[in-house]
Amino acid sequence: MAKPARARRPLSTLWLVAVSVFAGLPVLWMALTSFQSMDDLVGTGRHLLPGHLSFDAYGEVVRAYPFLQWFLNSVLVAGAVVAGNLVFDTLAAYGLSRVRFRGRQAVFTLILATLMIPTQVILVPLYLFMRDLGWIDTYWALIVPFLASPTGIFLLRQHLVTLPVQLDEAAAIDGAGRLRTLVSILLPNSWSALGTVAVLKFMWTWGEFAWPSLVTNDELLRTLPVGLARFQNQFAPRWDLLMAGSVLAAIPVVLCFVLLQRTFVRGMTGGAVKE
Amino acid sequence: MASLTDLRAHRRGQVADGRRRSTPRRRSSGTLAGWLSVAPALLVILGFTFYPMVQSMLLSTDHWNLLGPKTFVGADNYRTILAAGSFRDSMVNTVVFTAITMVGTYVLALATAMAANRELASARLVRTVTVLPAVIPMVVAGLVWKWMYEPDHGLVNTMAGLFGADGARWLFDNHLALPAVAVVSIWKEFGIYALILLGGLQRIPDEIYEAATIDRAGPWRQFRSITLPMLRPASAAVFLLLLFNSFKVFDQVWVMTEGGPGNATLTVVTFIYTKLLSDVGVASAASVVLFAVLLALTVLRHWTTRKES
Repeated sequence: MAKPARARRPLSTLWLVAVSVFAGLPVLWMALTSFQSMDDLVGTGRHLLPGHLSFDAYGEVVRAYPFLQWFLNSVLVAGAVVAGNLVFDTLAAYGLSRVRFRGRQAVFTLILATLMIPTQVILVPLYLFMRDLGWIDTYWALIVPFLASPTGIFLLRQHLVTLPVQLDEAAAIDGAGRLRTLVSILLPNSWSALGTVAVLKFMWTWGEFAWPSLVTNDELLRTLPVGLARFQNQFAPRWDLLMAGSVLAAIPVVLCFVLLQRTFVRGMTGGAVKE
Repeated sequence: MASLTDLRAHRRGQVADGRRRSTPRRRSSGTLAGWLSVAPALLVILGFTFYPMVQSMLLSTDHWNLLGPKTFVGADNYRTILAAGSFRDSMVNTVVFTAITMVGTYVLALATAMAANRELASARLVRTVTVLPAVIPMVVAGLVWKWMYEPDHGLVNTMAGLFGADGARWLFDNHLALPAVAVVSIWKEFGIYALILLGGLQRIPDEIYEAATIDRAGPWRQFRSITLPMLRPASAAVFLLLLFNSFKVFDQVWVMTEGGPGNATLTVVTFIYTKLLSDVGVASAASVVLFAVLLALTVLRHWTTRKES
């Protein structure tokens, strides 16, 4: 609706302000709550804005609960899953886009089919599999099943097929083997795709809830979302603490989101080879 | 430098000597290299997604509580869930939740995309703010909204009070709880979908609107006859994503209501979760039903798009 609509611009502006408030207010409310005391939140003389900024909730949440441990667990699990996906998905995407081999089409079809299986419908047998492996209450259960993903393979393959085959040929003439070609020629031309996969996997793994809460009973093995959810069930709601914990759980992914925007820009302005 | 795949092949004696440095011509026989490159990912996917999927189907015909022996009961679990009020409730709730989420998200996203399309200058800021909820973990979103819905001190009722309205006990009311949970999904996702729709809007050429204006078509007519039809591919993508994601809703339900009050917010995945460790066969049967529904939706979508083109 470009030109004819010029006259109605104020309405558009008003709408954009309204949806921005709708989107931003809960986040702001979370942050504000985390800086207030419980008395300020539920007392009679309650304020919407904190009278004074108090970091007490953060102190208490970190001191009284294994919050730092949960944070570290989340970092470890998300980091390992991202690293695994970058290696395994890239290798598979390379094989599916650059190597001709018998069975390639079958493998690709299988991976596409897997895209359709939601984790939710395999929770039961996956849990039993972990139990048989003795992986319940270990990091293995949180990491290993997610080291490769059809989504990542698919995204990376879609990117690799757009890179000209001449790149490989030039590398081969210079005497580079397959792995060398992949690492020194193809990957440097794929930062945007790799960045996208890394950030998406990081966000998804970081926010994961159903699976980690199923396979961990040990309090010290919980990831942040699991810790937060269990911790809210244990006590009469301490909203100050819950929101402080929520802020801590949100910060890494929000930072990641900022990185994602930059990655996209770089992806658009990059492009080493132009044909 | 020899590649890792070549080195591995060497060690296994599967490649003749003198082949360390491959050239394009030699690469035409890449079967070994191909399989080596896809093997790690394939193993993970086969082992941790395909194998469990098959297991799920097998387990759905057993009666088992994880501890005792498994007994084969055929279609009994399916009969059980179809007869169980709670599973039917969860199905109905999932469909209602999906309907509310799809309509709410699409309308909000489309309106936002159209407004942003007119005002590209402010679009960047709006994009950042509206997409922000999407990156926050669902558990965090659920907790924040649970606090917002809190009857006595929550933001929603406090704001309602400012306008002289009575608040509600949102998450404790049989009729309000499901829509209240759906609002969280709408809040979280609409920014992403607005971006997809904005992309679609920007591909519509201005000339079409100019021609329509010359023909004296009003804004509503232009919206109906140009914007909506031209936006169909983007809308179709949005609907499909919304449908799949809504059908699998779990995290915020579990955090905010655990399926309650009564069964008011019990969804299919929540149902599976409650049965997971006590009644494996029933949970598996429900999983298979959920998978069948998602599969049917995918097939239906393929079929309709093929018919169109």
